[in-house]
Amino acid sequence: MNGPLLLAWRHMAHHPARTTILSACLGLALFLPVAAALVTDDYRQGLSSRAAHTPLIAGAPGNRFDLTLATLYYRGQDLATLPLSARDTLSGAGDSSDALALAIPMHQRFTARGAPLVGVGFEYFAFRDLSPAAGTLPRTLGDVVLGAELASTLAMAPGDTLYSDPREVYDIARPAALALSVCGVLAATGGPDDRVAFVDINTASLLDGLLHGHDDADALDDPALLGRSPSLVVVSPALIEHNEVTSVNAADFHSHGDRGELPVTSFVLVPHSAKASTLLSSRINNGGQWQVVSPRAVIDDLMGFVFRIKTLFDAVAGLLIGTTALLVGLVLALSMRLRADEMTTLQRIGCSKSMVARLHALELGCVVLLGAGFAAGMLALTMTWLPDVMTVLN
Amino acid sequence: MNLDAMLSLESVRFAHSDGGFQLSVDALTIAREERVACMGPSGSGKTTLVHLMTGILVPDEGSVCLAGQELSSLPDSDRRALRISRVGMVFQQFALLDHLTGLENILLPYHISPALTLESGARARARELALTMGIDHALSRRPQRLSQGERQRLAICRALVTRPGLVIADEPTGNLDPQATATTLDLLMDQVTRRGATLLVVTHDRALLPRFDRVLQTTDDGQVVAA
Repeated sequence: MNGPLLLAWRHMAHHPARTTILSACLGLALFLPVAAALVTDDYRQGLSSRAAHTPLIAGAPGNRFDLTLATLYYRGQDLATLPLSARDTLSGAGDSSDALALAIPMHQRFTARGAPLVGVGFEYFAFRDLSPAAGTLPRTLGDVVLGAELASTLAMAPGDTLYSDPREVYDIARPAALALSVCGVLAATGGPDDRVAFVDINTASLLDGLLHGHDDADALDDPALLGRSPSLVVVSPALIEHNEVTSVNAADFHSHGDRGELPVTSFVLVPHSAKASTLLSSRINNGGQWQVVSPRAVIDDLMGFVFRIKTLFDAVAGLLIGTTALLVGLVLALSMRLRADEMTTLQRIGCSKSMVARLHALELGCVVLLGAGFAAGMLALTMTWLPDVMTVLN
Repeated sequence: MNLDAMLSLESVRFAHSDGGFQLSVDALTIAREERVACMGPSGSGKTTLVHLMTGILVPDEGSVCLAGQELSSLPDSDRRALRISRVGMVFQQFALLDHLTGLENILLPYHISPALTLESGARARARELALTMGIDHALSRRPQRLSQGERQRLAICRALVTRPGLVIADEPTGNLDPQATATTLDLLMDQVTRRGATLLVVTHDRALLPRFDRVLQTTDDGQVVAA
């Protein structure tokens, strides 16, 4: 270590409290704006990248932010539903034989052990590039495939049973919880898909109680039977429905209404071309019955709000840096005054004024370096432990 | 110019900027290896004289030659380089740095000037000096853990480590008790003699004067005369 650096370091080490406080103040002043910039940039990228990979989203009229965030991030929202039959219109196949887009239905009104339980059309797995690391994708009614992180959290593997969370405990017309058979675990993606359980869209209707299974009504002769005619059997709502789909009872599941009326919360639309995208958007939005949004545009709008707030935060951070710099300058100026005798002695011995200035500059440099190191450490910790955008949204 | 002289002043006039005090030296020569005491009442210009001799101050008139170099003709940087390499200085208040160990304090001149290079010989010399001065135990300690006498001996080691031709001590025993004064001065004079250096000691203690070859007297009106 060269002489001036040794002297500067020894003086700092001799006053550890002062050095630590100064470095910490500088570090914090550096850390806050940089961390804010990194975090917002990280979230912006997280939000934007998924939005960029989702061409269009269709849903019932309502808040476009809720529709987008729910569809992209499985954020728990009570979205208005639209019927499964809307698929033909939304795909553009309703009025011609050539569809303009692939329409993938999504249903997300339920949870299992607190995690979103999302019903999707089978095409969704290919669309999101989701493949099983173990087991298979849902192949039959009642199958569920778990995201990697959720499987790890719940310590579940193919062959286990996952119960859905009861949504309406006082509604005796549907089972309190549905036992779902874990058929597979998805490979980790590092995204929100890792914390979700996926079922087939028909299983979602089963959770809704619109598709159900029970014992053969023709064979009932107990109090659950309210009336019988040649064409109609009326059963009590107290009739216990199956709460699990098995190979034995699978054939008992049915819907009493039009399957096209089964509700979904949104459709992911994958247009075949830019022209098809434009046609679909204008056609559906002009119709007014449903809405089609571009996730990228919605997220850009959302980030616009965030960045307006960040601008204010940046101004505050700037003031903080300025104030800290002034305080550090004041402390160093007072320190120089306290050390005036010491510096006079050095100069009498033969030390030059430039060397004295260099000593002070080195001390300041060391404090700044320590502060920067402190800030870098805090930043590393922040980025390591930063909750991802999915957690923040929830 | 007297080539045998370590220090010579001729027709020197110096006035402080406030104009309140003026120091005059008509002619003063200190020979190599000479041991000189300087005394005088407070405010009579002893410290100003020392500062002129070492180039800290530049006279308004006249010349000051140190080791054959006319100080007035040298730029400030050269005067500093000459001072740190040719003059060892001991102060009344020791002027040690509390954040350095004893060894680092002794080697301080090497840390603060590019005119000196800290090589292994300097380190060995610092240790040898400390051993000779009886403070080898202080090399790894901070000054605040040493006695007054030990601190002054440490300061003397710092003054001698560069092998200066001239050692100037400004009231080196002013803060010491009589026993420590005697010991410290003995050690200082012994080391200066061994190294063939010239010694100028500013003191108020008349009892010390017999130890010196010559005594300079500063007077209230700013004159420097032989006592």
